[in-house]
Amino acid sequence: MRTIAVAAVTTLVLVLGACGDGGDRDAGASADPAPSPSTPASGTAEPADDTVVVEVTLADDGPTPRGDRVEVEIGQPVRLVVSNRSSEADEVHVHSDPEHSLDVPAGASGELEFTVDRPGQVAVESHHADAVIVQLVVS
Amino acid sequence: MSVAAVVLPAHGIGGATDLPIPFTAAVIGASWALTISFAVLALAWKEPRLQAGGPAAQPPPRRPWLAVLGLLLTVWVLTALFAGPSDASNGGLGGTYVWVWVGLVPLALMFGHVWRDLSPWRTIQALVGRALGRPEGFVAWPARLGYWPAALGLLAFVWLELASPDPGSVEAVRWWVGVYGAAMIVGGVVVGPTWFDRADPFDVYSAVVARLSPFVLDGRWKLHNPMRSLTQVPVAPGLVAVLGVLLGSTAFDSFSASPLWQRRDVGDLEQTAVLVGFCLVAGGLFAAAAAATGGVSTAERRALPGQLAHTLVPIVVGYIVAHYATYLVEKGQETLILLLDPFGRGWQPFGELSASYILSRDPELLASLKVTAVVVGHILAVLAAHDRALVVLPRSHRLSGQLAMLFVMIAFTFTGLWLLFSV
Repeated sequence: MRTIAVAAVTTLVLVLGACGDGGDRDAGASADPAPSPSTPASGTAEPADDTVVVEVTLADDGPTPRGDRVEVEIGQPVRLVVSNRSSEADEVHVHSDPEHSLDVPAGASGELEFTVDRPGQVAVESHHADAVIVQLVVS
Repeated sequence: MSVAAVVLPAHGIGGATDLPIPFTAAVIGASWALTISFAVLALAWKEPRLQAGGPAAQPPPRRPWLAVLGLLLTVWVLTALFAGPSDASNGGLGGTYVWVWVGLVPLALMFGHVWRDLSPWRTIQALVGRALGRPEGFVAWPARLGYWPAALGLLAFVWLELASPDPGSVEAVRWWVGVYGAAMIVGGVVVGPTWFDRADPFDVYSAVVARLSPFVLDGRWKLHNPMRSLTQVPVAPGLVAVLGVLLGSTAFDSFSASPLWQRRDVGDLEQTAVLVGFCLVAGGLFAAAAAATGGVSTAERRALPGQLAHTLVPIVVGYIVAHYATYLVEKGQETLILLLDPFGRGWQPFGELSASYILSRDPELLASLKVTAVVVGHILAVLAAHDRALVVLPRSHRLSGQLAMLFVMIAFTFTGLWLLFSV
């Protein structure tokens, strides 16, 4: 039983230590106004400011990108540039709190800009295709 | 502020979800679980210590004030669900998906199986049964059915929440709740209170989790060792299925938010099949591991999964707490605000309230909480399994007969941590 207790205490200390590390990193990130180095690879253009731009194409066989993770900092503006090349109107939903939504008629384009003000993952979904376009990883 | 459009939440209710836990947290949790698992096997006691020595005591009669409270809460939530708006601002959605489905777990851990007292269906059954002169119903519950109806009810609920075409549809939830309520009333009147002990998915879920409450024993306040009361989960056919649905569906909920799954074009049928597959694998692996020992007869082997079923409860509860903590705390508050305005008329009886996002604002604290819940659940499960193995396994197979179960429990915990880390 003593072995178990020692193992438990040791690991508890390790867990607490790991939490400390995370906290530091987070504090640094939120204090630093510089553009995020972690701009996503696919479906994005180089922004002029620190806005994360996600270019979305809606097509009959589903959205592009689809299911990608996009890293965003808390409070960093996100701009969705949506081009609907499918044959039907669509709605793009941003599952943040509060939610945002963008109507894009068939053949049309639209833009939606917003910020997310607390850590978490926010799914951006195509209503028509019932598919996740990107998932914003906000931290 | 809110758009009057249909939202498509993955979860029944929209909004942000948790960040993945950091890799270090997952690894530390996993190594802790692994180390303690084998330490228990090698070093722990050799004679059973945590058995209760008898079935659970009869709980006291249902307390009328709790029955009234349960009725009032039900009327409140159902009024919002059925008479409220038909979009995501309907508080009945959160009342069902958050308050009932997730709130049930901490309620049972704190107050024992208080669901039994609160249950509006039990109240209606008691009143109708008394009026008809048949408080125990008309037919006896066939013992061979066991918990299977509850397992199917739970599967129907997780299907609605996770695999139905539109889990956020108020219409769909109204239908589900309507059918469920009717089944509870009819079944209760016909079979009597046993119906709720075996066929009400939420009642059974609460009863099982309540055995882990350290504060309330058999309906009475009593500080006690929950590892002992845990051994008194009444065993009946389908108990492993109940736990398999709870564990498998929660894992599926995580899995279905993974990039792997989101990139695919998944039809409703495929979604349903994979959900059922997760539940079958969870329950099946557990049953197979429980039966994997030498030195027992066929009949004894067949009884083993039931005799060990309670040992899976802490793993299920730990993982569900980790998976749903933010959802309960934060969506729970949003639900309260929506339910204060049940008809969607802008009522604000307590002024303008806003939810506190205390957990998601602190991802490191949240990650530690999740890993702690999973690891503590794992340790309790391993201890419970070890202790029960000493009772049910033949002396010569006491160590080797536990191995398969130990590996399956480690596999469950590693999978849970991996899902928390990667999704």
